[in-house]
Amino acid sequence: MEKINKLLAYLTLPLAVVIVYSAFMRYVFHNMPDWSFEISLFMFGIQAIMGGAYCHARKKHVSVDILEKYLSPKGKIRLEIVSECVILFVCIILIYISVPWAWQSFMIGEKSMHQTAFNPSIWWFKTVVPVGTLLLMVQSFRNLSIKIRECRGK
Amino acid sequence: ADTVYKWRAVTHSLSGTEDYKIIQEFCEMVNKASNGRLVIEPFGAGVLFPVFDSFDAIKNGIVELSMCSTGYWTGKDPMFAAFATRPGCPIRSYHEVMYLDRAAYPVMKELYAKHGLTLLGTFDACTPEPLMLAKKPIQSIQDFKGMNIRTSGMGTQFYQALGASAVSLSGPEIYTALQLGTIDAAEWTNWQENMEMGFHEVVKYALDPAVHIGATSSKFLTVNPKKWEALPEDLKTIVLLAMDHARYQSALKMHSSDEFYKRKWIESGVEVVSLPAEDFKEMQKVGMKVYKEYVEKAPNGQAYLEIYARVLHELGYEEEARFYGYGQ
Amino acid sequence: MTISYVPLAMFGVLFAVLALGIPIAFSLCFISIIFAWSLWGFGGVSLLTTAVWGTMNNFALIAVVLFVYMALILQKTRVVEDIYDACYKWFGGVRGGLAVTTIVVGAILGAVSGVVAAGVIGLGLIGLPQMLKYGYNKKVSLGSVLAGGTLGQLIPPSTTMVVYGAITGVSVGGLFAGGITCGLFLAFLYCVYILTRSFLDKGFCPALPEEDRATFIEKIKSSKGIILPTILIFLVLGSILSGAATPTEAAGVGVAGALMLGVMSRRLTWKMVAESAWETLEITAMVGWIVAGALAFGSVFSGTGGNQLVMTIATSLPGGRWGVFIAANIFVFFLGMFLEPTAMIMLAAPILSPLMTKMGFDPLWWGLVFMMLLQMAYISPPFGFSLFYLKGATPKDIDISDIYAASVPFMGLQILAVILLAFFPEIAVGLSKLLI
Ligand code: NA
Ligand code: NA
Repeated sequence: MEKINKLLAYLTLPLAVVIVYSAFMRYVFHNMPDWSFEISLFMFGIQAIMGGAYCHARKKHVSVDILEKYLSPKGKIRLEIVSECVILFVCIILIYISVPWAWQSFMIGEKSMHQTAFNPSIWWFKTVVPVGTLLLMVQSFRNLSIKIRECRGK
Repeated sequence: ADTVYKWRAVTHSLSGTEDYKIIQEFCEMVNKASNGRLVIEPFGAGVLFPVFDSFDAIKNGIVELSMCSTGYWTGKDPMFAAFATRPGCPIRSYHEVMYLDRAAYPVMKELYAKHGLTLLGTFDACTPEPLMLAKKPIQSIQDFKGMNIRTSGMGTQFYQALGASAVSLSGPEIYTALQLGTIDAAEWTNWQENMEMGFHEVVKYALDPAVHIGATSSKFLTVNPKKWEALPEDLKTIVLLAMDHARYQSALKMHSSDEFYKRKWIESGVEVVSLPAEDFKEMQKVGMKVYKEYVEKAPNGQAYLEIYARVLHELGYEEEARFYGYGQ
Repeated sequence: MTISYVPLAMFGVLFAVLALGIPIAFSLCFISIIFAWSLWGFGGVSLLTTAVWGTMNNFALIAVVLFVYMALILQKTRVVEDIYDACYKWFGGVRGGLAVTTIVVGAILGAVSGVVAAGVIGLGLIGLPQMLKYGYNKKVSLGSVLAGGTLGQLIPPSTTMVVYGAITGVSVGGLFAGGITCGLFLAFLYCVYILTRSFLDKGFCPALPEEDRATFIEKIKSSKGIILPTILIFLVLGSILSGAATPTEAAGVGVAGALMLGVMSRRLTWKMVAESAWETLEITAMVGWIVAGALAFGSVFSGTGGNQLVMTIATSLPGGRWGVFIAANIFVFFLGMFLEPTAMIMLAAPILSPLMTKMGFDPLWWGLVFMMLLQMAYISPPFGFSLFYLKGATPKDIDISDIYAASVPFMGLQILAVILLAFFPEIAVGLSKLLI
């Protein structure tokens, strides 16, 4: 998990390099690389979806935490348990529907729909959806078990 | 009582545009003709989901119908690109396009069926496009060298073969890119839609006739097979007749509006330029070569090329027909 | 066609789920799943995959990653601190000067990007800590970031305006010109408000005490700190205006520039590069999942007949031309809260624009009012994307209720702006009439 997150975080740097390089090549040499559009989308998409688990671990998914203030510590934990259950539900559904979706894509060896000359394969990029969601689910499950233990302990 | 079928249709046309009105008319006609037994609600581009997701959405039955260009599905199968644009193609008029589409229908239907969709037919057909809109004058084939051109699909290989740099930009990004000179030229659909996108405000020249020929806004009517099979015969017939009607409407609207909007472009101060006949011929040759190489490589591409060559011959384009292997 | 009230039910349930403190992204996904499933069967749930996939393929969002990274580097290398310090030295005697600086920086960010998430988060990372450091009132600090950061959608370049133009046939150049005046007009109102409030209330945005005020020499010295950031602004803005880069690419130029400045000022360390990357990942994922949730919600909303509902209610309202105007305002404002801006334009513009034109309103003017209303939708509680983006970019001790409270006066200013626009349409369309 640590290694994945590290890779995800440092993707920002090559992303910036690719974007600047392609603008430079177009402006100065009138020769835009045909791969930069999709390569930068890949890097962004991987970060945005697979980063969900790390963001959740750091409690950075924004919520409207208004009710919390009026609750007892135990009530607060119960609410957090409900919250994790909703996240788990969303994850399970999303994995359930995105696995066959990504599989179909793999079966036809799907290529990019952005109509560039580069035309890379994208079936692997589609697997980012179930894989990223699975990571998120694992994280949510961890949080849930901690909260349940806390709830019992008090 | 009779069963009422409630369907949803998606398209690549933006809501509110003239293209979209033809789709609305189609839905109203089906509704009336079926006496309310088949109700189709249309959704413009991006209202339900991004256009490129329409294919899977129909396959999975989230929506029932789609009227989209095949250009959006080139990732599913390279053969779809062959029906999206045809660089260098001499086929330009409405009846010629229809003639080719009818001849190619069995191949296209098989292609869609392979990917789990049923093709009902050509929904509408537009005039030769995409048009090229430029900030600099294009007077000869040499002028393409070193230009930054926004294009898509086979246009990429085509303009690269002419020494230009092909740039990928989404529709909404084109205006600013032209305005600021990030790109020198852009390809985008027809006179009317180009004006609706405001491009006449930011370019000085329009290249007509178009050289990278296709029909990027022509739509094909596809349907979810299971939903289609479940429909009673009379309703199926109504859908097919309404499709014919839409095609007729499009012939009237698009071809007359094309002339009308071309005049509006000229009035707005944009200069319409065309290439010298020799250069145009030369570009057609480059385009045909790109097209042939691409289609030959695609699965089942050879079968389609045979049909294409035959149609070119039947329409009297002998030189082009021979290039694609007719009579060999 | 019969209208369905399901879309309204969706909003009701969403509010309930949000109040439980479930993260916004997953609340939106959850509601979409429940409604799609119950209305269209399990197959309908596939819309969620489509929404996630649509987010992953949204090229404009790349600007968020790059801008956030740039802002973090500027913050950690204390380049931003230099700007604010210099401004404080120069305008330390003027109460509210730093909040005004924030609005101005927001307008500049807006001229570089059209992605609201990038503007709000960028400004939240850059400006907020500085204002708090100098003892500025929390509300006005948060509010100026919210309002200033959202300006990017109004000030060109703005892809939402291009989409609006394509759908309604209104001149894009006209919208852009109007966007400049409306954006600057809003920024002006914000500044007037900040300065007046601070003038009336001494502790609101404290000035530098008399004895601490910098001498002229010190002021000149501190101005050195402005040189580097000014170079950066010229680099980024210049790369767009010269046609070298698209707005998304300009954000990449910003990252390169920020790193270069860090090296030049000898403050950049490898640790800063790494830490910024980690924080950027958090924010990117936060924004990514919210956008995915909002796309799914928008899909289900439209699919259940949301546009029909809008149409029916909009056309059945009494009160003549201005009655319809007010109703249309309320709709854009309300829907704008939940829907992603492009989806919002695709849903509402084709219905409302012809309607307003039929009522005798100038379509360009209405287009600009529409864009102004979206500004309001972004920052109005309880649901507004700018509110959530800012929450994601602020330290834990800032509560969502602080942000809610902060948005209220700025929302009031936006309402005032829309009213002024109704009475003096020249504010909106004057410049474009002059240009075209
Ligand atoms: Na902007
Ligand atoms: Na709001």
